[in-house]
Amino acid sequence: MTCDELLRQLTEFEDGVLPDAVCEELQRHLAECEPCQSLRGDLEALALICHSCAAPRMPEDVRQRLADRLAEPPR
Amino acid sequence: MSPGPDRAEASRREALSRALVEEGDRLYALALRTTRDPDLAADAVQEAFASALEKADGFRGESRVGTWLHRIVFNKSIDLLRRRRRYEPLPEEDQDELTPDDDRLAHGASWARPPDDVLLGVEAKAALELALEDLTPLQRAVFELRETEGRPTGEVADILDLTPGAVRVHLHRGRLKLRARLTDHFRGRDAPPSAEEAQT
Repeated sequence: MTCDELLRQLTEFEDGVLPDAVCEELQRHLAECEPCQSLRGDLEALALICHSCAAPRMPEDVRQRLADRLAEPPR
Repeated sequence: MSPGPDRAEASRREALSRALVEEGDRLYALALRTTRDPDLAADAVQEAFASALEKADGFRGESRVGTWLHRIVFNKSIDLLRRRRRYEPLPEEDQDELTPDDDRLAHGASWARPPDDVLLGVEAKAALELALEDLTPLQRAVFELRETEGRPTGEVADILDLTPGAVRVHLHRGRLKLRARLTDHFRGRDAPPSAEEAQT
C-alpha cells in the first residue's frame, strides 16, 4: 500500500467499512510510515480543537419567534 | 382511519416544537457553519421551520424528524447563499472523487503537535474558525455534522443527499484544507521543513 492509497482510504478506515485484509495492510503501513503517522496525528489534533470549541446556540429571539409560531392554533 | 387535517397539523406542530427544543441549537449550528453568517443562519432556520409546517407529507417515510429538518435547513442555507452571495462555491461545484490535488495537500508539512495548552487555546480556536473560510459550504456542513457533532456517515449522507462515499471525500478534503491552513499557526519559524519543502 502506498501513502496515497492509505490517505485516500483513511476515512473509510475510521468508518470501519474496509475489508479486514485492507485494514491490516493499512495498519501495517501506518506503523512503518512516519509521514502518514504525522498526518494522522494532525487530523486527530484537528478533531480535538474542533471538539474543544463551544457549540453555537440559536439566538433567543429566533427560538422565541419559532416557538410562538409553532404554538399558534392550526388554521 | 387517518386523523383529520386539524389533528394532523396539531401533531406536526407538536413534533416540530419538540425538535426545536431538542435540536434547535444543532440546526442553527449547521446553518451557521454552512453560511458563516448569523443573519443568514437565522433566516435559514426560520424558513426551514416554516417550510416544514407547510409540508403535510414531509414526515412520511422519514425515520427521524430531526434528520428531515437538518436536510431542510441545509437546503435553505444553500438557497440563501445562492440568492445573496453568488460568489460562494455551491455543492454542484464540489467534486465527489479525490483528486491529485487532494493527494498533494496530504503531503504538506506536519504541525509537529504542539502542547495541549497551545493546541486547545483560544488562538487555535480562532485560527480554526478563520481556516473554515477556505472550505466550501458543503465541506463545512460535512465537517460540522461528521466531525463536530460526530454523526455517522450514513446519517450525514441522508441529510446532505450524498452517497456515504461522497461524504468521506468531502470530509477528507475539508480536513486536509484545514490542516494546511493551520500549519502556519502551529509551526514556529524554527520548525524543520517537510520533505517536500526540503526538496524545493
